[in-house]
Amino acid sequence: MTPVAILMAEDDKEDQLLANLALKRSKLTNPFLCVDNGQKCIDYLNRLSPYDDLEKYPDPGLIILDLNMPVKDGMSTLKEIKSSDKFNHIPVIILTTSNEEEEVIKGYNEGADSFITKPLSLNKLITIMEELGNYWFSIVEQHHE
Amino acid sequence: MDLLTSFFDGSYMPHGHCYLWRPEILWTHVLSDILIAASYFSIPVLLFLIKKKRTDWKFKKVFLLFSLFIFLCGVTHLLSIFTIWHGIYGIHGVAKIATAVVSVLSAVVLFKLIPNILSIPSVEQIETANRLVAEKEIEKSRLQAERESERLFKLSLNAAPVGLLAIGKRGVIRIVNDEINEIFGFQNSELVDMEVSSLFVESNFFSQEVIDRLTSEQGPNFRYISPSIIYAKKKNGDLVPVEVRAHGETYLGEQIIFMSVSDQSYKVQAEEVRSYLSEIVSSCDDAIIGKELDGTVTHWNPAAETLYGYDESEMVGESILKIVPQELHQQVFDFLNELKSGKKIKHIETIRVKKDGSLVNVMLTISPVKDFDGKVIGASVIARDITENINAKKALERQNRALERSNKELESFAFIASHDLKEPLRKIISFGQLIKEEVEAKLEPDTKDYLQYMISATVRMQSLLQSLLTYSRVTSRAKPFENVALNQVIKTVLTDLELKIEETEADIQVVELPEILAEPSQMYQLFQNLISNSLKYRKSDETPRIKIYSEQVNIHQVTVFVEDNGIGFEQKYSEQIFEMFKRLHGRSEYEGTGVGLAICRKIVEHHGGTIMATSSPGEGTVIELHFNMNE
Repeated sequence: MTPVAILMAEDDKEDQLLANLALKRSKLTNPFLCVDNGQKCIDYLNRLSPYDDLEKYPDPGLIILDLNMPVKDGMSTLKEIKSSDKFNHIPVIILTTSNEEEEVIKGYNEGADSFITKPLSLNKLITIMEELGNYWFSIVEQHHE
Repeated sequence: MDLLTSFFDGSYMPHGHCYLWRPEILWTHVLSDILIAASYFSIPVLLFLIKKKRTDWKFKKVFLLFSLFIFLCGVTHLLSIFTIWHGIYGIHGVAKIATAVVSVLSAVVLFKLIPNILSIPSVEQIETANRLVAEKEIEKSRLQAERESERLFKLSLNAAPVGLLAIGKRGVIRIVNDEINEIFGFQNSELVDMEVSSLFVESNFFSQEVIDRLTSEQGPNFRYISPSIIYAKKKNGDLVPVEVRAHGETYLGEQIIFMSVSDQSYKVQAEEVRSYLSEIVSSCDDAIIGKELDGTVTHWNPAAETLYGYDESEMVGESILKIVPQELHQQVFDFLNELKSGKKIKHIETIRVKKDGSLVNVMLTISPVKDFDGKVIGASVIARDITENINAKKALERQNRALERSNKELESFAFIASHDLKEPLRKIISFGQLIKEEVEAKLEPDTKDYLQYMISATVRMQSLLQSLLTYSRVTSRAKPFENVALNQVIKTVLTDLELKIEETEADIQVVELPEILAEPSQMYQLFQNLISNSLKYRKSDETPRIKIYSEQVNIHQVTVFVEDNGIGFEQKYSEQIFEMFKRLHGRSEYEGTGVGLAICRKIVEHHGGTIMATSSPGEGTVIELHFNMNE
């Protein structure tokens, strides 16, 4: 069984790198793909070029969205995903830098499945990834089966 | 006996024989006697009837005697007839004797009554007497009426609301009324015989010359009216302003001056008040304008002249619209309508046109002017040039806006700074840790420490930024206030601080606290910071004791005290401790960012309150929070 692919929309290359590192260190083997804004995330889901290569870009089983992104921000992207019959089954986890109550509430109202505050240290990020693996991925994978 | 028998014997020769029974003689006598007797019998009856009606008649005895006498005469005449056929001359004689006796008695009594009867007045006499009596009656009632009218006259003289004087020769006072006494302060008739000139202050208007002319000229030629107020001297020396009118009349050959004196004190006082008020109005710096309900100007003070450029003569009688810009005419009519209902229009800011055409910003207060019946008859307008105020206000508004902007910028800077600066820091920390993990084994101990210092400093900066973010959010993310039970807030805080409290074995007492209008999360933050501080700055050798209580200052204000037995500080730092990033201790002793109390102050001030601290080293600290209850 191939673990589900994780699609991360995050404009910050360093955060992409850190997330990738954390994923690897948490011993998760899920394919990890990054796009650097919300529009690309939508394009990816719709298989628009260059995301039409199914080999290179597998269907994501989980989406991690950063809130602050150019072109299309996280909240709009979330709205689009959750209002689409094709994609609204994909769990979306919102990534924030602060645990601002209003944004969290707004995110949940738009259909976000979970929130992760970007942790201070890599170790914490690893712990979070492990938790994701234990909880979300199992749900998602069960769903896939 | 024989004599008596023969006297009454009826056998004498009937008298008819004397007539020789000649019927013409006999019947002449008989018929005459019958008529006489009938008349004589009727007279007493008539007398009796008259007497009965006229009860006032005196001389009863005479009437009785006279009636009897007539009756007896009648009887003798009847008997005369009888003797023609029967000779009863004895009985006839007795009747005559009785008649004679009664006649004599009547004559005697009548004689005696002559003076009395003569004294009864004749009808003429009675009529004359009656006329005289009537005339006397008329005279009497005339006098009575005269006395009444004199009393009424005197009464009205005294009741007159002006002082009245009658002055005779050489100005000597003859008659005064009560009001004169009232004005001059004299008693009843003290003024009589005094000289009138002694009652007034000699002036151009009322001099001896005037009095001389008044008293010397004859007839009603000279009339005098004091042209203005003159002063009368009271008995006690005080002066009273009065108005005097006088004119002369010749009475019984003597020139009498009649003078009226009316007290003008009220008029003088009213005049004084009026001129005082008028002085205020004239000297007032605010324009004061009087107008009628149709907007016609009636008063225009010098300040109005200065403000609008028109002088009094150019405005009085003109419409107020002369100084109102065309587009504001309707507003003026609206105001006038409001005034008609008695409403006052306060502090209206509007625009007027000056004589030179320039516009001026004015503040108006328009009040209705009412007549004695309370009917609105006009309006008074107080106008003030507020150009300067408006300029000042505009400048202030500009400054406020600038200040607001800079505050907002500062806040958004603080927010953005703390929010966005955290990002790179997070990377530094993360990658720092990665480097550390990967190269740790190959590093010199010192280098390893340097790396750790760098990471720790970055972590500290992260927490400083977090504090700054919290600080800026007190106002930038403000939420509406609601009723907050402080006891409930503190209960939550204590639950969240449970670990720390257990660790320090702190004794925390919370007394009944009020409910205030506040933002609950900020109240949580406030008490969390304060209680954490008390726990942090505890004495190492003493059980930390924290007491939270309140005191009602008045119905609007309450003070909440957070008192501890911690290390305290010197009172001179009591202000500094509330400043941003201010710390009294090294980080190595007590960790912290130095923002906690600054946040506390910002929260309290955001709630319209104040915070202050009282402390001395080793004696613990009392933090006082002053809150408004109803705002």
